[in-house]
Order: sequence, then C-alpha cells, then structure tokens
Amino acid sequence: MKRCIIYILLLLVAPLAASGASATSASSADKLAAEAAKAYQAKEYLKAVTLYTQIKDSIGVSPELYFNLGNAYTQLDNYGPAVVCYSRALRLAPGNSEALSNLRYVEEKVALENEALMADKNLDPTPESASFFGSIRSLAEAPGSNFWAVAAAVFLILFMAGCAVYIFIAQVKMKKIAFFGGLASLLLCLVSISLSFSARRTVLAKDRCVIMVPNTALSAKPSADAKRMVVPLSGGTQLRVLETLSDSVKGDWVKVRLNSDFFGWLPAQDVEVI
Amino acid sequence: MKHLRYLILTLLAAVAILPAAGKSITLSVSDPHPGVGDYFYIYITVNDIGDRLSGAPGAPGAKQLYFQLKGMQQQTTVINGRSTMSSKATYAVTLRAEKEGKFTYGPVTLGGVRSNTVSYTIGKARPGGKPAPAGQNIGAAPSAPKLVHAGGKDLFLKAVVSETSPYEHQPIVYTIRAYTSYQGTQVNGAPGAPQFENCTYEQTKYASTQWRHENVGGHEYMVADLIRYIVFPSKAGKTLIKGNTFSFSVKQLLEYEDEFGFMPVFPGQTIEAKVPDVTLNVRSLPQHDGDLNGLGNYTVSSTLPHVRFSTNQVATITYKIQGTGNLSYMTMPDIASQLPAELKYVKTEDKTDKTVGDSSVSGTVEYTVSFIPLKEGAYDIPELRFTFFDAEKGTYYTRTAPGYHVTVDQRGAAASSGGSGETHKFNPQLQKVGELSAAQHFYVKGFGYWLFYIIPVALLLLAVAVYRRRIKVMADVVGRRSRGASKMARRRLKAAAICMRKGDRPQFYDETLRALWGYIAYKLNMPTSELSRVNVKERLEAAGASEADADRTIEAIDRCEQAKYAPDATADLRADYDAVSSLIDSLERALGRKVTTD
Repeated sequence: MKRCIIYILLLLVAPLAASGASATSASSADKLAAEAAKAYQAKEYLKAVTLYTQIKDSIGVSPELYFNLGNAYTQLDNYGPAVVCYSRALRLAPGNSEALSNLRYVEEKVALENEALMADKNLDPTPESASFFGSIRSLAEAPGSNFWAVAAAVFLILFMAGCAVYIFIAQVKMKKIAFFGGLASLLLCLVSISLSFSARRTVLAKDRCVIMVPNTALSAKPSADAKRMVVPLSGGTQLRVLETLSDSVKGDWVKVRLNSDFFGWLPAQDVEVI
Repeated sequence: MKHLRYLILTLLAAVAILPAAGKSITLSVSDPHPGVGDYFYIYITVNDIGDRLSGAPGAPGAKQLYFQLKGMQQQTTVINGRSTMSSKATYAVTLRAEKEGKFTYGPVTLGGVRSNTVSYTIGKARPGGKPAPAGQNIGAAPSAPKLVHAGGKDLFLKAVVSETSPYEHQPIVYTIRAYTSYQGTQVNGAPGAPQFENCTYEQTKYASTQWRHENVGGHEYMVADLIRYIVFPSKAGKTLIKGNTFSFSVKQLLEYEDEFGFMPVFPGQTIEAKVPDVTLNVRSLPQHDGDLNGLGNYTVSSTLPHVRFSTNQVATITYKIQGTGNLSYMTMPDIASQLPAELKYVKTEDKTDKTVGDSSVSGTVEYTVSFIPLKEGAYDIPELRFTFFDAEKGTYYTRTAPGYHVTVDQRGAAASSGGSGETHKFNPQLQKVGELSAAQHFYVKGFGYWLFYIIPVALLLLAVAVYRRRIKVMADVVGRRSRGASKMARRRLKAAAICMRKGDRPQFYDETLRALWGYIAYKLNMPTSELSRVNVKERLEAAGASEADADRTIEAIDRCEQAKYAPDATADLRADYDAVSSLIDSLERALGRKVTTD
C-alpha cells in the first residue's frame, strides 16, 4: 500500500519536475539568447556565434535561432556556415521571408567570389538548373511538410462534409455538388499527403551540402594525392551530394557536383550537409 | 653458206668481246713474306674501267694504314678514223703485318669485273724490319712507311663558376669547358646533367661550339664551352655540385712518310671525360628587419585600369615586378591585409615570364589582385612596398608601387550578376528566438495527426449507419405506427388531463376515447372500419395481451362512451384518467413500451 502511494506520488510529481526542467532550460535559453543579441548589437559577432551555437548544441533549435546565427556568420563574412543556418531556418519555417532574402544575399556574394576565382578561365560556376519536374517538385515542396499535412487535414474535412451532404441531403443539386466537391477534396487530400511526405523526405535526404572552408578545389579521386582542379570553389557554394565514402586509410570523402564543369571529391571536413 | 654463217658469228663475238678484253683488275703484293710489324703494299691496277675505287677491303692478318690512288693514265688512239680510249689507274693499300699465318687477299670487284687474288705469308717479327724487296714495277722502289709526327691526345673538362661564395638564392653561372689537343674532336654529349645539391637551376641556351685556341700551362689547346647553367643555391653552408661525364669522338693526327711522300692518318676513337666536382660556400643573407620579397634587382609598377567601381563587382589591380635575379624566389607582399575592409580581397594570381640569358635570368612577374567593393564610398588602396636583396651589391632595396584613390558607386539592379536581375539586401535585424526543440517535428509522423483522420471517418461511418437504420425504421410504416401508438396515446391523455383540470367533462372523455381507440388502432394496425369491441378483444388477445387487459380495455371504452354521451357529473375524472393511463401502460408492457404522462 505504501509503495502504491509512493508510485502514485511519483507519477504526479514527475510531470511537474519535467515542466520545471523545461522551464529552467527555457529560461537559460532566453538568458543566452539575450546575451548573444547584446553581443551582436555590440558588433561582437564571434561572441554572438559562440552563444547561439551553445544554445543550439545544449538546448535546441528554432528557425529564429538559425536565422540569428546565420546573420552573425554573415557579418563575419563567413558565408559557408551562414548558408547552412539560413537553409535550416527555411526548412523549419518555409515562410520565413527574411531568412530567404538573407540567403539570397549570401548566395549572390558567393557567386561573385566564384566569378572572381574563375576570371579568365573558361569555366562556369553557375549551379545546374533542376529539370522541369524537379522545379515543379521543389516549388510544390517549398511551403513545407507541415503545411501540406494541415492542408490534407482540411481537404479531408471537406471530403467528409461532401460525403455527409451527399448521404443526408435529398436535393439532387446539392448531391451533385457534394459528390464532385468531395471527390476533388479527396484527390487534393491525397496529393497533399503525398507532398507532405515528399517534403519530409527532401528535408531528411541529406543530398545537399555547403563548402565551409574559404576555398577548396575538387579532386578527381577520393585521395589526398589525387589531382585537384586548378580553380577552387569559394566557401558557401552549395553542391549536390552524389556519394559518400568512409575509409580507414583514405579518410572521409564526399562526391559532389555543381555542374558539368565542377564535379569530383571533397574531404568531408571541408563541407557540411544541410 | 654454212661457213659464211660461222664467219659472221665470229665477227660478232669479236666485236662483243674485244671491248671487254680491255677491262681488267689486277692485284699484286709487294712482299709476299713479311714479318710481323713489317709494312708492305698490295697494288690494285684497274684497266679501262670508268668506275673508281673508293676503298679497299681489309687485308686479313694485317692492319690497313691507308689507301690511296697512286697513279692514273689515259690514252686515246685513232686508227682509220676510229678513236679508242684506254685508261689505267693504280691504287696502293699500305699494310702493316700483325699476325703470323698464310693469307689470301681479294678478289676485288669493280664495274662488274673481278680481279685475281694474291697470297702472302706473314712470319715472325724481324728485328730491325726487312727492307722491301726490290724490283716492284710501280714507279719507285717501295719502302715501309715511317711515322714522322704524332698529334696531341689530351682531353679534359673544367667546371667554371662565376662565384664560389654566393649568397643564398644568388644566381651563379656554372660553365662546363672542354680542352682538347686532339686533331678532331666531336662532342657526343652527356647522359645526365650535373647534380646540384640544395640548388635550383636553369639551363641556358649558351654553348660555344666554336673551338678557340688557348694556351694552358705552356701547351696549346682547342677550347669550347659545352654547356652553361644558372644555379640558385637555396641553403647556406657547403653545397656540392657533382660533375657529370661527357663522351667525345676524337681523332689523333699520325703523319707517315714513305716513298710516295707524307701521308697524314687520323685514326678515330671514342673517349669519356668527367667534369670535376665543385664545392660552393653559400652564405646566409645579411640580417634584415622586415619582409623579403625577392632576390635580384627589380623595378616595381602597378596598373589599375580605372578608379571608379560598382559595389559587388569584381575589380583587379596588377603589380608588375621586372628585373634580373631569382624570379622563382619571389613572394607578393601581403596586400590582402592592407586593403580597406570595404574592398574585400578575393585572390591573387601570378604569371611569370622569364628569359634565361647567357649568364642571368631576367623577366617579369605579374601579380593580379582581385577584390570586390562591398560598400559605396571613397577608399585608398595603399602603395605596395617590395623589398629585395641585390647580391652583387650586398644590399637590401625597397621599391614602391603607387597606391590609388578609388570611388565605389552603388551597383544598379540591371547590372547585377543575379540570375533574376535583382539584388537582395541584407537584413541585419535579429528575430526573437522562439520555442526551441531538439529536432524538427513532422505532423505526418505523429500518431495524433492520423487520429485526426480516423476519428472523423469513424464518426461519419457511425452517422451513416444510424441514418440507414433510421430510414429502415421509417420505411416500416406499420411498425412506426405501432411504436407511435403510445406517443399518440400520451398526447391524447395529456389533452385529457388539461380538460380534466378545466372540468370539461365531455371533452375529457372525448380525448380519453380518442387515446384508447387511437392506441388500439395504431398498436394493432387496425383500420377504423374494423374497430369494434369484438375485433379489438380478439386482436388484443392475439397480440399477446391478457384476457383481463382485453376486458378492461372494452370496459374503459364503454365507460368513456357512456360518460361522453350520457355525462355523469359525479364521475370521478381522475380515477377514470388513471384507469385509462394504467391500462395503456399495461397494454404497452404486454405489447410494447410503457406510456408516461404529466
């Protein structure tokens, strides 16, 4: 009996303790975020990066945290981590227009640096454009997985309403409207679910990476002795990941592609997967 | 006729053979029994053959010293207006007997004509030699050739350096020079270059193939510079240059005298000679505070095409370092840290154009610095200071390329490098950090989300099931009427109760009768035309009501009709009401649901 009472008490106290713990971590996150913002305003961008990174590693992430971290990196002209942060902010919150705008700004900077590196060389640093269906898919997945999940739920409700009207209402006109409307809602619901899963798969795909070092040149083979391209790519360049290799002798390598002029291998420590 | 034919044939053969009869090659030997070491001759006499002998085959057992044409005779004879020409050439092969034995020389073939062969027997060496035998019909008494003069047979190489104690990276000239006293010297080359320890080097195109006279140690030599390098020692201390080996084809002059006169002979051979090693004492550069960018003697200049730029547009400035020295040992001063922060440094590319001269390396190194202006405004690109060490003077020098004052304008949107033509602005404002989570949460992976799908569907299915059941029930009119009987009776009894409270007896009993008859009609599904007491009793009992209930029903009907049509002011309305109510309850229990009123 006594033991039962103790177990019951523990069951009651545990949620309180958990909420207390989360309240504690939330307050420490607020404190760190305030410190980081203060450092940022005082143009101590490196300190701001350190504090935001501490929040990210020890407590958790949010789109706004990634955005602020990206801004601090951009102020330091460190475009590689900036691109990673803005991209992750957009993955968490596809509607964050400020993150998108700052990402485009950094991409322009990176493009300019690549142009400068490739001056007088007959090479094109423009990323390969996606195929027609790839573009359509990207456009469709842009709002995010959760958006399409909510849309699917709404369409399901509409479908239910259509079914109810069709079943319970006697008027022929209403039945017709309910039938076709319900059918359309069902199709849209299925499409929305499919897009939601597809967007989730894209987020988890790990098929894009960013160069994190100031400059690095692609290698023909995954080896430190392999021939490297004459022209390097600037930090912040986004690449498509084709293959990864983990070897106890050669080390960790990633096979990447920018376009038909730039494809090859990079050391894994030079890039970060978004 | 037969004889005439033979005569014609003979004449024709003679015409054919006669000219051939003049062509001949005859061999003869001056001494058929020489001893080893003795000189002797083999004579080749060629008659009436237009071709000339360019050489003679070797003689077995003897060494051929030389071969020469000793005499040529030509004669033209005119007989009866017909001229014929004859010629005779005499060649002599001078031999020295080297091996004992019996040997045969020839035949020699020339112009399709074969000579005879001659034999000679070489015996043991004779001390003092044997004079040539007399009686040789060659124009003069033959005698053994005598070596009267031998040319030089000396060849050696030297490594000549311009400086034995150079500074680090100072260029020095390293020349390989050949000295020879041979009459004819041809350089065959060397399989490899010298080994320059701790050095870099450039091979010059200089090579003096003209042999010149030079007196070395009282002896006359022919001298030529074979090859030259510009060497840059890279490390202080002792540095060894290990010489390589050259191969030469040489000819020594041997001059013989015989009865024919002086005869020079140039026997050839291939010899090798090695370049001696050279050790340099390389000195460290003198102490210097500050950067060192090059070694040699240079001028510095810079080129900036224009001084007005747009933001976010790549610009370049070119620095040219021109002069003589170690162009490979050159570094660009650190311009990146000197540029203003608003002119973002991108990269530096270098291009070297050098010429390796006879004794120095000169040329130009161009550094192209790329940068991107980030903000509008006016900025100063500082001057570039280039410091180099002139080894010949032993001094450091600093040359300066001028700086520039530049203006940066805002880049227009149309001139942007973006694919869409628009330039995005950076928003430096921070956002309020929202709720933090460990990982991204996807609705579609949550159970609650799918519960949101399951519950409405289940509810809808339930509603549909209920609805269909209701339709089914509603389609059963009889059953509906039967089920509605008690409701209908309740409604009538309620109206009767109101009449009872009002004291409206006729209306009360009317409503009560209606409740009774209506209940029976609905419950038993009896049309009005069949509603009689007998039928009612039968049907009630058939439906499951007891006989008592059936009798009470008939009694109630009777009493109500009587009260309606023959009202009795003393009748207890309440008791009648309760009796009917309980009757209907009892019938409902027997046949259906209970009726409740009030």
